[in-house]
Amino acid sequence: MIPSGHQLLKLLILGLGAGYLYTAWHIPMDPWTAEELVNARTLPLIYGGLLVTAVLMSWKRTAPSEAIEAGPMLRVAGVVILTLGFLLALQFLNLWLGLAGLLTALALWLGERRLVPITALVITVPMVGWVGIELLLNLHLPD
Amino acid sequence: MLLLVSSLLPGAALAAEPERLHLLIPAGPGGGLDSTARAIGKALQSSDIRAPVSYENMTGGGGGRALGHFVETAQRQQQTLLINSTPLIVRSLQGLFPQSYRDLVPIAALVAEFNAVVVRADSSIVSWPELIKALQADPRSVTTGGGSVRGSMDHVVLAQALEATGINPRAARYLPYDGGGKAMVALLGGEIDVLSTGAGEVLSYVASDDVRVLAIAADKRLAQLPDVPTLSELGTPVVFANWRGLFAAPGTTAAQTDRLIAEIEAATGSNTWQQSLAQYAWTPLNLTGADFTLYLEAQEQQLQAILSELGFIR
Amino acid sequence: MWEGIVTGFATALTLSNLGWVLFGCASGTIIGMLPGLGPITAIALMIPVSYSLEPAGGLIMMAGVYYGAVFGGSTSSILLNAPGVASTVATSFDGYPMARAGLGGRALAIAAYASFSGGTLGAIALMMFAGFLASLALQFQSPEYSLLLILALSSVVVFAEAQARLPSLITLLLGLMLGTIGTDQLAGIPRFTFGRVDLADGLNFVLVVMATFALAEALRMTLQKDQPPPTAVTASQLKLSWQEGAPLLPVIGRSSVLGFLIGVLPGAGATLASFFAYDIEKRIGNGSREAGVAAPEAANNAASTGSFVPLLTLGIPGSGTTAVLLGVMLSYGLQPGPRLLVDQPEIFWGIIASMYVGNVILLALNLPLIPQLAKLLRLPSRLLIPLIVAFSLIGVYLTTLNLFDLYLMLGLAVGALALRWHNYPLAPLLLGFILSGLLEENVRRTLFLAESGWLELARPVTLVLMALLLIVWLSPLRGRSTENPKP
Repeated sequence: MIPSGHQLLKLLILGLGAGYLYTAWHIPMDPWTAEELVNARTLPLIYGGLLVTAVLMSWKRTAPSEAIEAGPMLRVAGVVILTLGFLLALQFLNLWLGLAGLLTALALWLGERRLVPITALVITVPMVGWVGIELLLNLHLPD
Repeated sequence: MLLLVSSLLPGAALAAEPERLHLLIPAGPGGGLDSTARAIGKALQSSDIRAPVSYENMTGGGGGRALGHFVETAQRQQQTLLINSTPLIVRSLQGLFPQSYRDLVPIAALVAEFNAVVVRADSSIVSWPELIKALQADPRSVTTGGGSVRGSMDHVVLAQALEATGINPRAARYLPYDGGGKAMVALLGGEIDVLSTGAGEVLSYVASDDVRVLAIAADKRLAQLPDVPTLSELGTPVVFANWRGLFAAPGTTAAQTDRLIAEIEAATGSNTWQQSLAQYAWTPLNLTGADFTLYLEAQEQQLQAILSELGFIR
Repeated sequence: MWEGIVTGFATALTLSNLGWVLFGCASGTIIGMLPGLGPITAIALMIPVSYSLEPAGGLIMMAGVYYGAVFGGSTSSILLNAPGVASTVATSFDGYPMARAGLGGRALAIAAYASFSGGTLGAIALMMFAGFLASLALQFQSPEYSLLLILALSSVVVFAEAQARLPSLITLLLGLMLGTIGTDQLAGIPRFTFGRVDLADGLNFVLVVMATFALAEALRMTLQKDQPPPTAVTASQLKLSWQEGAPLLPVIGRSSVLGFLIGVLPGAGATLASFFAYDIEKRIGNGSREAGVAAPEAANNAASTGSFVPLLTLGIPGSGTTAVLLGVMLSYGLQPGPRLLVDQPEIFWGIIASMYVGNVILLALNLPLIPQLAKLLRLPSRLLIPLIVAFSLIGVYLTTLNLFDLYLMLGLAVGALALRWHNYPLAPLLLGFILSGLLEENVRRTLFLAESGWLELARPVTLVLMALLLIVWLSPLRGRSTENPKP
């Protein structure tokens, strides 16, 4: 049987809980902390333990979620990848210029074809940001 | 005013229009570091030494991110000064920062704050010797607290003082709070009996007769608290200053360093700075260049010894 | 006291001080609407301006900036599901769905009226009871905080619908876990940081909220078919008729009182207040969406006012924002605390009086603005999505100035989308994250204190809180018997 999306998600949370518990167990402690009954590890261990229990308890539960078609999935993946590209580009690109690029790419990807709204969006947002934040408020952005 | 400043500065720096200066603050707005940076910036600006002075609050990593950023981008930071304080040394020693003050160029110390040991006004403990007596009888009978985590200054000063009187600091109870303000609520509300925090944070409570200061960890009595004995007077020679000071980026030329030192010296001599000192009740600590470096080395040694003895350095 | 109030209004109503309140409110609102810039940043940005003013004028302006920014923040919370401060998170629960249904203007108007009432009621309470409340705040020590926080966290799970309780618990725990990342509050030990300096201070609140609310919402909109934008907002929708407004009055009244009382507590006052107020309205009130916007807005504004109690009377900042205000007061050479009322009554009462004035100005300033803002919602989603994505990215970048955080945010947003898609509610996650540090700190101190005997911790306030906690925990049992009668 192929696991449903929901089961996959629960499996993922379970894995996360296990990893969290493992890391919590290995939190380094100075001699003061080690002597205490309740220390830096205690609450994380409780959270992790409860999470694993809660996920196991809800194992049988089915969520009334809608099935996702391939089309919308692709659209989301596109948005994520474009944003990722923007983040990579920020290494050498000015924030506001990069933002203009991201806005254009996203609007095009989501199906906007009219030139006027795209131009308006692409020019307004970075301009408002640049003028408002860098010029008027004089906030210093690291280059 | 300009004339006065001119006489203090080497001539070369003055002829032209004042240049811009950027201050990097490794903490959020509102705290001690932030107000110190803004006060010295104001003094620089109003004395026409530097203008405009801009500020950048870079939080993160308990100050580690600003430090890392400053060292990494040193080339571009020739007109930038980083403000820092004693936790720089503590965290470097504990290995929380990969860098230390040795990676920076110390310019000047500006102010110092000394820790005070405080009890409620209606506490049955009215003096330092009585506190020691109570702790010697039963170290768990008194709950102490402070405005920062265990192993940080508030705790270390207290622990060192206890140790000097022969009490095992690990046997005493210490509750850390998130900031001196919350620790003060805990003291006033009765959750802790003894508070160790910066002397500046307790002045208004002393004025309103809510608390009593048992001792301060300073080398001499403070002007604002003339009746409070120092720990040394009480036979416990513990002196510990939380300094705040300015650093230039690594690779700053000797000429530029000298110029910055002269500029800060001029600014700390200005009326604006004297006013700020009075308003915030800060104790000035005027150390520049090599003197500041020596001071940092001495404090690093002192802290190295205490922290490893208490088990905070592995 | 009446003398003081007269002095206060005399100070607040001088022409120049009125001007400064107006200036403060206007700039606060605008800055608060910008992504990632909340009241703390707004006040910090105004520090240079305040240097050139008299203490009274400067502080009055700052108080205006504070209210303005809180209000500006609820705007982005309602319109873009992007709360800039923790205390407006609860506003987005019902405000954003209203906006999506074309009622954005109405939600904003309710928020404006509720904020106004909450702020004004708070100011009245501050005038009358400041001294008494200061002593109440001192009663709240670690055990009381621990219980209050456990109560808040329990209610978000217990008050969820029966089939959503387990998912709520799971997301709540995920939030608590996210909150443990960073340096341990008591022992200074780095936890879950994997040696990265970027993680040493923990995740930033703006990062988590923008990822799980704004960005995840943009991604969810992408998953859905391109929907027609909600119908145009007309000015007539702004006008709440008396019939519509009247049921909200008791909601605003109770929420303000609750908000003010919780706001007095140093710590997460305004946030806790807004969540509690929302929960209570959903549980006890009629549960309408209008009430769901009014309650948290009234509560968080009353709480913001309440947070001045510990600042002005004890000199203790109850929130990040009042901590910055404390810095401003110190820079004027004022020492907030028990002596302030005695030594400088004109400052103390001037600030309080300016709160009334500020609330009136804020309302007058914002009502005409609402229809313009609500036009944003008429954008089709293929333009709105890029806008929200950009808004959340700038918001986080301006807050932390760290590229690493943007990658982290994108990852969190994808995770949040997966959770949302399978009907896991995200509000508990956010609440857990916000309260995690406070909870752990107080619980650990309490257990430490309990060493010398649990009985010492049985105090009036702890007993009341424990009783409340018991009621909350037992309420599902009663609910079950009525919901599913035995066939």
